Amino acid sequence: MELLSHIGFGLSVAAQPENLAFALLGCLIGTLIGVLPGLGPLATLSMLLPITFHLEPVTALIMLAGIYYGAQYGGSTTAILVNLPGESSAVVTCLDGHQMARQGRAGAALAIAGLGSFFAGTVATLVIAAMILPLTRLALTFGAAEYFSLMVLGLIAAVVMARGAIFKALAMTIIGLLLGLVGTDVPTGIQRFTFGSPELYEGLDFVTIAVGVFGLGSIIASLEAGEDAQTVSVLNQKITRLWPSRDDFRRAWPAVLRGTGLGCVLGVLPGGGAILSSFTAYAIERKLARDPSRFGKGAVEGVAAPESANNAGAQTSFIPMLTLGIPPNPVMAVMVGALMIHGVRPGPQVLEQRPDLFWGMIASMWIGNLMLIVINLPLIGIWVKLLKVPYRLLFPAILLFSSIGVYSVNNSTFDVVLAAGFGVLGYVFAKIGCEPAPLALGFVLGPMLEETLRRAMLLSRGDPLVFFERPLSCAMLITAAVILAVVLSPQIKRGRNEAFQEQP
Amino acid sequence: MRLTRVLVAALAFAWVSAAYSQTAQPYPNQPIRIVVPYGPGGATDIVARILGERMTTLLGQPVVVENKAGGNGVVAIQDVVRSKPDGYTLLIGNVTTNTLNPIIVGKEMPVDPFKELVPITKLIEVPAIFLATKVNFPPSTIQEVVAYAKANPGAVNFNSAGYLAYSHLDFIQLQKRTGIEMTLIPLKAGAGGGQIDLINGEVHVAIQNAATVLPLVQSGKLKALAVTGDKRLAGLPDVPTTKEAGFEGWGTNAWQALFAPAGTPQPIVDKIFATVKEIMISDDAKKKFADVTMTITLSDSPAGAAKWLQSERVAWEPVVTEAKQLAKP
Repeated sequence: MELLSHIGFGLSVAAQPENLAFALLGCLIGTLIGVLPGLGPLATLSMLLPITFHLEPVTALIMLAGIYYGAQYGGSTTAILVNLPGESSAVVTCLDGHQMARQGRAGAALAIAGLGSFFAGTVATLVIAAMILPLTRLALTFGAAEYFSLMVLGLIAAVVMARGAIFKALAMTIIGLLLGLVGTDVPTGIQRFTFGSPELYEGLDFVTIAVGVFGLGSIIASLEAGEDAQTVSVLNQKITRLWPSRDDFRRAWPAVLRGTGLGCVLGVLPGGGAILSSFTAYAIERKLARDPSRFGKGAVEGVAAPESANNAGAQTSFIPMLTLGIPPNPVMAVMVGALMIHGVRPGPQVLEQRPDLFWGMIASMWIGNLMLIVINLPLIGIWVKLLKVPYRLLFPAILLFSSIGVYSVNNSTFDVVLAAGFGVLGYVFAKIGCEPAPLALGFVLGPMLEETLRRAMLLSRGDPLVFFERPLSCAMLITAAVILAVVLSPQIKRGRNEAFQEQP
Repeated sequence: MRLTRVLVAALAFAWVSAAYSQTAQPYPNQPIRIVVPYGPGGATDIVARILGERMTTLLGQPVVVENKAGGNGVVAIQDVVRSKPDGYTLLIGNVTTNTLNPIIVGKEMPVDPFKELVPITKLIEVPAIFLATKVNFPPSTIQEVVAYAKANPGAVNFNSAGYLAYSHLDFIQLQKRTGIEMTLIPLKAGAGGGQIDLINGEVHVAIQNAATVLPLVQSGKLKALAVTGDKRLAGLPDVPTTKEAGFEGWGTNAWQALFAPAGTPQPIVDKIFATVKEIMISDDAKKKFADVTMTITLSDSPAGAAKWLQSERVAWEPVVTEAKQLAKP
């Protein structure tokens, strides 16, 4: 009952006309920047921060949050239509979402992504309202050893998930890990692979790599193949239908449920939560599917699960910020900054001292999700029509927005040049049939893997048994070992190879 | 033919009048850029944005904050020194980007901020809190930490965001001063997340800026053992300063200051100084910064700021040199 009264109170704050208006504004801006390739929420939030100075803190937060999850929604649109993930968590959506688009089922993919996200958002809002304190405790029980084991589990899942030759997937993951090494070595301050340029001291940025390897790489490949090559361009496929079929729904809903559950839990963990939840959700669906070979060729579960997972995760990632004032990712850090500019110090007291802020924010998440689904469902028709734009007009636009997006991350032309370089690399990968998704995962998880391993070893004073002494960590390592054993067992290996041979 | 001539004449007129208006209008007659050497959201960014918003009102030109993270400030500093020294590009630097890092990197710095930038004024000091976890760690004063560390050499973990960051330097000095031995659990430079390790007891002690951790102390998630600076914090009246705790001169107050490229005309520097001063002495700004536990510490003049920065450099150089030896991996 207390829960209901809290939500009711929150809704009364969030439903004030001004808050509603700014939630809508945030959602619209978020959707827009999410759809534009390469433009991400971080750059947008920092550009729009001045607008929020004259708003009430709760209104400001509602608008900024709207931009954040609006971008999550919009990001999946770009991933599905043009195979370009704007954020690390959308990488997986590309795998099957873009395949669906190529088969003329872009509308179905977009609708499933939207509805799955809305469902996940609704559940996550309730979960936050009901279990915010236990989930905070969960975030606190994760020490370096647990994180390390979680990363190992995630990487193993990536290899399982990869379609095609396991060797190539492994190679791509390792390239990703190596790219993640670039930058300052944390414990010693020594530069690794920075070649004397200060721009590289903090490592490569995800957006630079994604735009290069995914976006520019596939543009080069498409141009080479020519406009009429059906295999590379989505544009000449006829669009069969706009709405998911009954069969799509039947397959999608269990995946949405599983993805939501996974996302709610992993989202709470700072750092790798978002990307891990979408990758793991995908891997689980693949494992549970009766016919795993459909994955990577337009399986609707492959869109539904990761999309619900990353939206649920995006919302529960607010928990450490709301209850402790600790931002789990750079976007949240901007929100903490925005609150501080308003003189509100985020922290454990916010719940008692500013319940309007706390519950209003939570209720607005749900309202925001409702708005997003209302905005996005009618837009599907327009997005799908966008695919009919001739490629010679579409690709310069993608190129332009990608460049602006890469530049906006750090106001740096250096990054744009880097992205161009990664574009060439992406083209090579496309040529030799290597999926870039494991690279993205390796790149994001690699540095965290290294950091948490070294931290755990420092904390245990060099005793590796620490990973097995802590129950949570031990359980995750055992799961990883089991998954690996299953994949490597001869029977399944044969199945994998057959699946691979089916591919052209 | 005639059309072309008319066009050329019109363009020439437009160009001349534009150039004329540029010289005739007093500073500022175009938008001003404040470069922040970090991503959005941190303490330096907050100072830049509060200041930028009020400068926009007072100067009648948009003051835009631009985040340019990278290389402990080197990327931002390079950007600023390459810009025209005309007062339209400014930098908000801090103790790390404009004093510690240049000393640590030394000759390998691609740019010399001491020479190629001029300070306009110091802006803010951010006091830090010496924190301890409440899990599995009995000491609640600095003396008790020292005694505990003496009894258990190397067992006390401390964290610090970035190699030779000022909190790292503070801990190196503490160890040297008292002869104790502690273990560094490093964090990525500028990273949050250090607080979670303290709350759950993986890390025992840390020095972090008060703006971020005060709520965690007030709500009882973490212990505060001392505060840096010479005054107690309004939000923590019972917590002694490091001096009161018997560690005079130990513990760094981080600062932020406003810089311009060297060669910026003195009248423009003076004008910016006067504007910033007007902002910072207002009650509104005082309250705003006090709300987030930052202390306004303005220089008396740009010349005073230069003198102060020089003294910072002189004070830190031996500390860093020694720490580099001690912290050798």
